Amino acid sequence: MSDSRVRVWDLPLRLFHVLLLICVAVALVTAQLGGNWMTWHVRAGASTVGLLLFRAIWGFVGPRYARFHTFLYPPRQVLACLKPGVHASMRHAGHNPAGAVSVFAMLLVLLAESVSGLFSSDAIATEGALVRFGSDAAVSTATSLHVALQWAVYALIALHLLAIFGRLLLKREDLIRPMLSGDKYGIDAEPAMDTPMVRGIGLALASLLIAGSIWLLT
Amino acid sequence: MRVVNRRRRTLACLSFTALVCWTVQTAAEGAQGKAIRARQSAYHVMGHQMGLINAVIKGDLPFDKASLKLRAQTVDLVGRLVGENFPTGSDKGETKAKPNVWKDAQRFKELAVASQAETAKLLAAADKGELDDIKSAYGSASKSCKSCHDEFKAK
Repeated sequence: MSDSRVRVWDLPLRLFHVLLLICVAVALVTAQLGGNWMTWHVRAGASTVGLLLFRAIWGFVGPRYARFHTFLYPPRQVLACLKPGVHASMRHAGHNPAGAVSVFAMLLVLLAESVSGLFSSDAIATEGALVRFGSDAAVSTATSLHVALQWAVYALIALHLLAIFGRLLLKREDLIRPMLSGDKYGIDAEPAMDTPMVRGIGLALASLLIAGSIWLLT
Repeated sequence: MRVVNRRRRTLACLSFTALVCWTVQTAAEGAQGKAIRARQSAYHVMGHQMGLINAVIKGDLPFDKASLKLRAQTVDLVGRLVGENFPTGSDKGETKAKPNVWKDAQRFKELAVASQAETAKLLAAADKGELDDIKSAYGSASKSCKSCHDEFKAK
């Protein structure tokens, strides 16, 4: 393995990832706990909306590997990526084709889960910020969807972990460290732009969207 | 002539039977529908008042001891009566009550009694008027709602 080090994940993207993990974990746990924890469930959900809005924008204007079009692969490549015995030469700087599918699935499911939550009522004392704009039937449907989709979230988290540790154990590729440090080693690729300017814009945008979501949706 | 009479008699008998069946069925459906509406309205009132108590706890509504107590009283009182509205057969219709409400009636009753103990504590806390106590009592009460919903209410 060569010493070449390439910045792949910019700081705003890594922060997005960690914060999304925290918000989803808080939302899943507090939903089970109920009671006064539901206040935190609503906060976590609203923050998730803000984070997903940031990710949506970052997917068009962010650095190279954060952009959606750089990890839109045809199905053929996704399947090829899943075959056993693919070697290091097939490593991708950004998301690999199979990982890309799981990223899109995760973002879409979390979007559906957090938006349905805004129209959901637990029929106890907590309801989403937009319940007042929905009919009873719509709220009932949204609530059913919100409850059912949690299983999709659990499934995607399991798949995520399975893929990360499968990659680590079977193909000796560590995907965790790059997602924390931002760098991949021994790969020949254009680096992602992670300058103070990019960071500043990303962090300002993310803060604004999260604060706005919490303000409007809790 | 005779044949015609017999036919008429048969027709009359059938019509009468149909009328009786229809009346009994409609009455039964009406009674069950009323029970379903009664319990849903009761739960709706409880949920609405719990939501307003929660809003006071979160600071979205101003703290007013008298109205908070009235809300806690309402939740406690309505919660004591809501259990009457689950007659046998009212699992059919526009209801989210799961069949185990009737199959496991003892467990359902157990959770209802547990909930009533919690709403009584909420009322006691509201009566004293300490917001911290109200918050923790509210937390326990809403958890007892949830534990019953988790087992007996379709989502």
